[in-house]
Amino acid sequence: MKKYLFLIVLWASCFKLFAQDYNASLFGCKSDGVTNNMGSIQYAIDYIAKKGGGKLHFYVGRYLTGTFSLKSNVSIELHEGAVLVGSSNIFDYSLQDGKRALIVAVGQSNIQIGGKGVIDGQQSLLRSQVAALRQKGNIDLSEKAEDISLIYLKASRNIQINGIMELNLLGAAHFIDQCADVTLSALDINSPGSIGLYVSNSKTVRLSNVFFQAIGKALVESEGSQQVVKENSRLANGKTL
Amino acid sequence: MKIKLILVMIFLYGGILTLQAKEYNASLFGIKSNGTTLNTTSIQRAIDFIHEQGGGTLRFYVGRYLTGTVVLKENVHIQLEEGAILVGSTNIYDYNIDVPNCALIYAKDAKNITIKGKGVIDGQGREVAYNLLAQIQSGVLKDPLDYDRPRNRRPKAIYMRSCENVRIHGVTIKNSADWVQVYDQCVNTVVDSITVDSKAFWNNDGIDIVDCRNFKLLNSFIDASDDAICLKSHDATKSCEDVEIRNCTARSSANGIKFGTVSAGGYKRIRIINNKVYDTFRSALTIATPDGGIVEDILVDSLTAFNTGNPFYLRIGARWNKGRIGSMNNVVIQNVKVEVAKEKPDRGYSYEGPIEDNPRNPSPSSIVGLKNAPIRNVTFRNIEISYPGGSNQHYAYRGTSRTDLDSIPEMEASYPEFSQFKELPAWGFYIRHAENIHFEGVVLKLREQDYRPMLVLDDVNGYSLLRVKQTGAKGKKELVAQGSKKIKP
Repeated sequence: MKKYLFLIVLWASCFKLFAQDYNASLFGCKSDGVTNNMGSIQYAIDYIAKKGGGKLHFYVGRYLTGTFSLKSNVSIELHEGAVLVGSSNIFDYSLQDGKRALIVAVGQSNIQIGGKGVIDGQQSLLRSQVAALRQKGNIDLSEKAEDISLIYLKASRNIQINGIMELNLLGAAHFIDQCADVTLSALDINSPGSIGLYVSNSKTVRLSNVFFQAIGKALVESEGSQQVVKENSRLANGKTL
Repeated sequence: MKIKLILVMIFLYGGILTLQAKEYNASLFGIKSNGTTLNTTSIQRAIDFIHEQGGGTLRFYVGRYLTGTVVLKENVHIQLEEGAILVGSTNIYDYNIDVPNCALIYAKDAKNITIKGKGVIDGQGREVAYNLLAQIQSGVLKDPLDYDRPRNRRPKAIYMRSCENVRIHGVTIKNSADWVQVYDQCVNTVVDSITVDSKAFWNNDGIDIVDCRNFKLLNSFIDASDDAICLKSHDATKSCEDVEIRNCTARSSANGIKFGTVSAGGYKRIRIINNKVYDTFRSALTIATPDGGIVEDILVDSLTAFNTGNPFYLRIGARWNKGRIGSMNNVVIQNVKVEVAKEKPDRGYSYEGPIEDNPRNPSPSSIVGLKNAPIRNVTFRNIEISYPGGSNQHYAYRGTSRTDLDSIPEMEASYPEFSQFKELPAWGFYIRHAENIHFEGVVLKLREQDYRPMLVLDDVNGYSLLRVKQTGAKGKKELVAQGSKKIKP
């Protein structure tokens, strides 16, 4: 009898462990490619975090957005055909902990970004907007637009990014600073002139089955990192990273 | 004597006049052109009245006529003069959502109906779909949500079922929430000189010709986010027969001209003449029969496609076929020029086609039957196709050894799309499970080098290659035939 009770309790707790699923449309996200969804996506993440965690699902479509911040225990699933499209307006990228990036996590843990979807940084549109602003003198010349990363992870742990195609970024695809236990797997990065992965002061960063179709520099390891593991990751010419 | 004759003629002439349909202005029925008055009941009363009087024309002059679903009746003709816009209500409850195919303009079992003029039908589909979604999320309407969007109840702009002698002429149809216009089991239909501009929401097929007999689609321009010109067969006991698609231009974030996907009965005697396809994400022409449908006697002549994702996809599948196996026989594709894009061809359009089936290099044209149901008697004559090439075998690789070819899954139960196999082993044509395939005067151009050969044949029982040339590919074998038999043309 005790044994059964234990099993039932275990079963029930399993349910609690299972993440709650939320569709993006529930928060008013539009897949039309023109509506800027940053407010909705941020609200969704905050809402799911408050409810104790879960997963935000994006299905096929183009979801335009600016910067949003990840929260602990809130994961994002980009299903095949779903594209998170980075805004072509630099002012949609807010400064978070001294850096501009599309997706930011500072001091967070237990987050997965997965699926066969795409994140598109709209490199050329963003670059030309910044150039135009500079020319008109409407932007601080010290503003380094080229530093806009796709995903900026700072002082975070237990982060997995899996399966995503990452296109046309300005800065690094993944800027990882003071993190622990970060896994990047089965990614397809196609971003001429960019940095694939910038790692500093981090512990246990695993890079597996990542393909760099086009990249400026695949991996930059700054000081103070331990255990940067590279498995089966290749450059466009077939060479192992 | 002469006077008598003249009198008879006058009498006859008068008789003809009364036989001719009467004309009614919309204002006669209190229909308002102010864009805010919901005119559903007034327009319906007008249609019913004209129908009861034995028929006639309901005429809309310049203005915005807001309305929900109206049902067309026998012998009623709608004339939308230039500047007149039938505007679909954004309230989902203004539509006939209790029927399986709700629509702004709906007709069933009606004869002799016309929609013509230079006016516009605007479904306001994006707003309707969002409001429908809100009703689903508030729990009032039940819907399973496919891909996080409503599966059911999205209104079409026009739905006609089992109608006879339908004429659609000159109008512009915009912004549907679902397929733009569906003609299902209709007989003797002419759609001529229309414009479709519908990238308002998902599943915006430009025109769906479903199980129709004697159908003509002529001189029309169709720009739609889903398949632009689409033949379907929903009923296993019916089929599309004697359909002509001529002098049309198609643009799509799916396929330009497509047979399927639902192909229960099939397609017979279909002529597709002098059409253009551009900025299209998937294939210029797809003929798919995954649900047991019979495809025979298809002529595609004078097709030009530029900036398209793929030229041709011919496919037999076994998806919802319930034991019946589809067939494809006697297909002639001739006088064709296609330019395949390297970049995404529909970039910048609303509701772009999804980036999917990766990793994959640029896909070839494909003719793929089933082991027990080969695609039969297909001729490609006077064809010129330019492919981008530039494949990277480190990104995606499929060789041409027996083992490599066998590693390509059959995927007979999957949704048929040119990219479904992911990487294929050819840059030009990949042909599997086929019989009597003839190439005459086929020139395939490769713009950047490709690790794959031009042509891969696997299980092709009878093929002939007459005046087949390639330019651009260098230093390797360009034809691989495994388990295939060459015959004389």
